[in-house]
Amino acid sequence: MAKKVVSQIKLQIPAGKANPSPPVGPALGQHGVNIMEFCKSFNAKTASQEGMIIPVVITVYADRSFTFITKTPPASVLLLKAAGLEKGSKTPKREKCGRIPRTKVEEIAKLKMTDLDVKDLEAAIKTIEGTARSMGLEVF
Amino acid sequence: MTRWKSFTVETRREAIDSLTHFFLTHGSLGMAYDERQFGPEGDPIDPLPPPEEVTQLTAYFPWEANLHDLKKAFLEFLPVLARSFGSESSAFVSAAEITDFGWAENWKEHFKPRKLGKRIVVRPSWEPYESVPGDVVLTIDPGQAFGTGTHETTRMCLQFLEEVYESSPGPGSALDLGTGTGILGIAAAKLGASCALGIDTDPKAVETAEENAKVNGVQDRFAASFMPLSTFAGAYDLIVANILAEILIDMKNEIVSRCAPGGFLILSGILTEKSDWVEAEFGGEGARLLKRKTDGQWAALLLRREAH
Repeated sequence: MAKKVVSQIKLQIPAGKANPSPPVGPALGQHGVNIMEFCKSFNAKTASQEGMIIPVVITVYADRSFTFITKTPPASVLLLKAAGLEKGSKTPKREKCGRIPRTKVEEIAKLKMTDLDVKDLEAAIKTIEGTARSMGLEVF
Repeated sequence: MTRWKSFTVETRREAIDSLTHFFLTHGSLGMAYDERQFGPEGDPIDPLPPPEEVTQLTAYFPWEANLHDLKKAFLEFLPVLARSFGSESSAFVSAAEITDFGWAENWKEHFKPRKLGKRIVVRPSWEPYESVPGDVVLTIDPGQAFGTGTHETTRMCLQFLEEVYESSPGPGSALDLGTGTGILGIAAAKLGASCALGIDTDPKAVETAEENAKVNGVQDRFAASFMPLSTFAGAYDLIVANILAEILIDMKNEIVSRCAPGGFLILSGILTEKSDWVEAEFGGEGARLLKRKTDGQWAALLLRREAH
């Protein structure tokens, strides 16, 4: 018999560095989940990606057990990497921080396709393009 | 008491990664979104769920964060988001101060005394336990550090410790790398080590471990420190390291060289698929596998350093 799901939540947290402080603590603590166990498993799975932010979908069951699935890093992280930048613009309204070719945007859209919850590749490209612009990256 | 701040917005799904970037550049520790709770029949509890394309996202910040400045920056960021994802793609909902440890308290209710090996029992301080002769009782409260005995890796390490101390005399000096709550180092001290040292990079863990040593009456035989291993001299008859395969392998040379010839090594925090790798790497350093345990997705190894 399938286990009963009581809650599902998505988090974005640094790879290899989960600890019981927020957002993990408030997300899991309210369901009586063994927070330390989650942190340890998550850190083990993401140790090789240290420095990245990783989206993770956590499902909590009625017996307080849980499962989790890690996803591809956020588009913003992939965009910065592709543009060869450490960080984006803090004030994208006023300053641009770099440029990124459209082909790269398409590559990222393909990679993120399954995690983006979009109808087709075109919609995915539009989302990634939008993300790039909002970070102060110009798409050419 | 440790406190945090949170900043919640409503957003169209397409804008989540943009907001991730925005909040991270403003010092966020991480974000939570798309929270869904289900009732007994598997139906969503929220009577008025947001439309499919919209979700609430909460970004968490250290206590020092200035939410007024953040809100100002967020409101300035909205037109930028609008250019990418249309007007009203995101909106401010609320800001909050998080001051209690509610989540940690909830977890406590489910933490009971448990016999984890033949002799070792781990109990939280608030739960009574009637011991029988031969029991080695460890009092460990789950706090903001790893190691409460409920994790498979801690359990397997404790069982290996018992086995190593079954023959008398057991290892005299013990080193616990990545000590967390101090549970493994304290267990070694209770099982017979004359001195045990716990090392952790997290000062909070060191504090917790020292506190736990006092609670367990082994403060004369167990000390914790966040100084690196290189600052301590000498070799140990037993080293236990419940960390992660990658870190163990990075440290293999240092770990084996600090183990006395003929001494024991207990390694865990290793996913089963990585245990052969760890065994081979440590084998190359002169540590021979005596025994392997697996539990679920985790493995633990007991090795012995060759005498020469």
